[in-house]
Amino acid sequence: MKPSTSRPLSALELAFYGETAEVVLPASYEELLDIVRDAEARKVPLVPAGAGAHAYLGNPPPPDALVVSMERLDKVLRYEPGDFTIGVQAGLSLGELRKTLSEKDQEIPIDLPSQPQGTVGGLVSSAQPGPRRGRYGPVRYSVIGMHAVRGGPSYYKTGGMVVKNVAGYEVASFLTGSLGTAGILLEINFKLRPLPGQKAAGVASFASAEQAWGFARSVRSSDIEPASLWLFRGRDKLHSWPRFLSGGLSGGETRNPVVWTLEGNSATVAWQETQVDTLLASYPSETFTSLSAQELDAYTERLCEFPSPGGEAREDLGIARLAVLPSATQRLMESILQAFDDSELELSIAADALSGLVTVRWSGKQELIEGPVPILSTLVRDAGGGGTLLYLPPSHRRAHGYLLVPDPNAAVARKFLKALDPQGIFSPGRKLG
Amino acid sequence: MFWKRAKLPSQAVPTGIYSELTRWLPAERLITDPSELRVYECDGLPLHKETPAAVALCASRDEVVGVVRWCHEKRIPFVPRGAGTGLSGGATPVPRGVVIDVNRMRNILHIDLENRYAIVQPGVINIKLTQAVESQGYHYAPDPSSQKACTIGGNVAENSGGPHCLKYGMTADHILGIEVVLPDGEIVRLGGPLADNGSYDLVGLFVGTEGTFGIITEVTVRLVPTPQATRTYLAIFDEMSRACRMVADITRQGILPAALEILDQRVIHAVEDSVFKAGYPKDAAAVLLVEIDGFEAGMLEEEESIKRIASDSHAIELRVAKDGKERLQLWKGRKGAFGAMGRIDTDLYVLDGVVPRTRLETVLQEIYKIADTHGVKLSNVFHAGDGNLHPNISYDGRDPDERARVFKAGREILEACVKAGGSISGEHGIGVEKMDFMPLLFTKEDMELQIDLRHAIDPHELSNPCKIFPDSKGCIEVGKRQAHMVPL
Repeated sequence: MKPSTSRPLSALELAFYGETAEVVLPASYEELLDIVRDAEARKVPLVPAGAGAHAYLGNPPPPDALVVSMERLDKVLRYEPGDFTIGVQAGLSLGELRKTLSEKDQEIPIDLPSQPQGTVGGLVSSAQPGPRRGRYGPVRYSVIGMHAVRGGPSYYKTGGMVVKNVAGYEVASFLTGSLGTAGILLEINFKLRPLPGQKAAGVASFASAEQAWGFARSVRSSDIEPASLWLFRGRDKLHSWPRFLSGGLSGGETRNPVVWTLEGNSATVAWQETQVDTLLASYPSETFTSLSAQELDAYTERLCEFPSPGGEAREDLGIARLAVLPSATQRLMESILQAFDDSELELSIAADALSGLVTVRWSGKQELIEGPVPILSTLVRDAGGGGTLLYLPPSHRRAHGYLLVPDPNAAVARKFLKALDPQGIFSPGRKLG
Repeated sequence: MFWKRAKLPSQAVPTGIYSELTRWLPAERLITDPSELRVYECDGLPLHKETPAAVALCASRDEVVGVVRWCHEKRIPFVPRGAGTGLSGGATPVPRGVVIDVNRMRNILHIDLENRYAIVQPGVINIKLTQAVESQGYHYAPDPSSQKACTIGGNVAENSGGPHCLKYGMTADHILGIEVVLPDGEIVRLGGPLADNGSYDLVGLFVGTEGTFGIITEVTVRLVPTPQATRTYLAIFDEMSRACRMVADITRQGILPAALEILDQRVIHAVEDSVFKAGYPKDAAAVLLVEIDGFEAGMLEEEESIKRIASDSHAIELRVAKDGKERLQLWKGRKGAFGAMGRIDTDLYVLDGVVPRTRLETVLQEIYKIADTHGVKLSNVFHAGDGNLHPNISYDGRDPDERARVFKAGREILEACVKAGGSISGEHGIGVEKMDFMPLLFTKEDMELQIDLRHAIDPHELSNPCKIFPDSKGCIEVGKRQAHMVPL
């Protein structure tokens, strides 16, 4: 247990919450309830937090907000490797979670960088999709139960510790991805998967985007079940890709790269690799490389980091994630590139061909950094999609909402938020504005 | 009052109900004749019956909206109904209420295989959705045993499971979007085929609310590719504990079969003496149906693992289905098991507890002991792979003493499941049947939170009231229910 009851603001918290923000670290659930009770009485907004790694996400809080970090509540409470379930406190670090699970060759199928920042509570309340989202689904598919604090205050349980359970409402679904607006997460229970027995990955480059997408579509419609399938274009100076990608992204050797990863037992991976070879014969690539285990790890690491600013609040960076149907991903990517053809900004795009999620990063002069936001909003709306503005510099952040396309069901969501937080103190407006 | 609950209004059925509702749907689809209403007095749980004031057989969203708005205006409770195959009384009518039946909304509206989704009306029968896409190599994964009759809307309301949800997930993992008529008649479209557009996961919250958040009028479902290869095995055991150990070993070794189902000897006998005869050996203490699926190339390795584990678990025999016909034969027995138990006695109390898989063996031993203690006829057929037990107690419902013993045994069985770290319902839902068991699992604060969420959408508790959450006041039908049953 950490010795102090407060900690310094992280760089991101400082940038987005302001110098006057204070962080408190309750050591017990009762202490946490006292903090919430006091905040409700004084009408002080609360920002649930872990290590402050996700402070950049969502609409910034009011300036007088109190940051409540769960880092001192960081235990593994129940781990049943034989049952493939684990229950942990929200403040458990992601590094500790991964270490605990990997010792038993298990995982939650959400990829993390090698030195993950942040806590389990942050992982769940931000619910950011990872590289294998298309194959394994959103974060909530792995969540089987929670304990949380609601306004009042009181704490409550939803779900349980078994992988199949329909008793009561799935409140955990609403809390997952809620960015701390629906209360404070205390404990989260997950169902687990075995680590893949075998992994393989490859990258192919194509002379044209059309060929690259044709190949990706053929993979998708074949019998292959890739663990991930991503396409990349452009390059922003703030993010370095592994060498096998970076050349292509700047127009070098590997143009219009497509990267796929495969998982399974040795026979299924080998079979799928032969199928990829067959498809490549129909969509001739300029280059094709199998990735070594180290290269796959490096690629996964960079892809995990792509949608985040890292630990710093950069003034020259913007990031958005757009969601369209997988069949519309190519058209969206091309329309984005076209819209920024003459821009001074450097742009890079990573498109998940399995899920239809397109992450866009841009970097350049601070005075230009807001420019892409309305353009991307229009493009994704015209494509029938939606999305989120993941990062803008603190100086610009308040000018734009978190959701790129307004949520048509915001009114319904607000009714539930009101039930969970009658005083409106938990990260007010962080998601809906 | 312990719970903050809205009270059902106490006035009599409004006169003119018939003429008012025919403003929204044709007279021939509005049932008010008492003899016809009896068809709708219960669902798959005949223990609880109530005659509704009317049944509206809606064929369109507009008709649903019209009836719901009328109910809202008059403060008349309503109960959504699909096929009525639910086993927890989720579609049991409430007094003076209207049943809103959506079976006539049975069209598949849109199929998009490139993006792997379909849009269907709630009355589409589960198996028919798969049949619509299977020739093109896709299927809808959730497969409750009632899939030949149950509807997608009902599946969404209950978050239904089925044998193959072990690998593929529950209904909640396959619903991308829903259109709902809220209890005040507002239509909302939640979610859709897009992934992660950043909004709140309202779909995840609404799935499994058992009709208490309104009526579903359209569903966007996820379709999954049909696996290249399937292998089905029947492991035969002379001891139930060995079957459980095989399940635990398969799980522990990280193998994820498509299905793992156990039937005990009483069920085997019932099945083999019925039209669902599957060739299960009647002298077996238990049989374990194992199904793996995936790439043909990977089948050999998994099959070797299954054979090894079966041997290590002292299976007497491991049969392999040689072709599709044999596979269907093995499944016929499992899927017909509940029906077959009608041979044992006139009534069947189906429990739906869940336990961690590592506790299966010990909890089952406890369950059999409970049955012996109370002298009830217990049989077990269950989804061993995810710990979802179905202890079934056959009894004569006309015998009050036996009924009392059955319900006492049922409560103790669910207590044992919860004590083992499990739950009171894996897939059938709470409905009326398990309301009184909710305090085994949830505290007052836990349930208050859920009721508050329900009130956020339905402050008057018009949509399927008196379900899920127990209350000793406020539900007019509670007194009637207690007359049917011995209090727990």
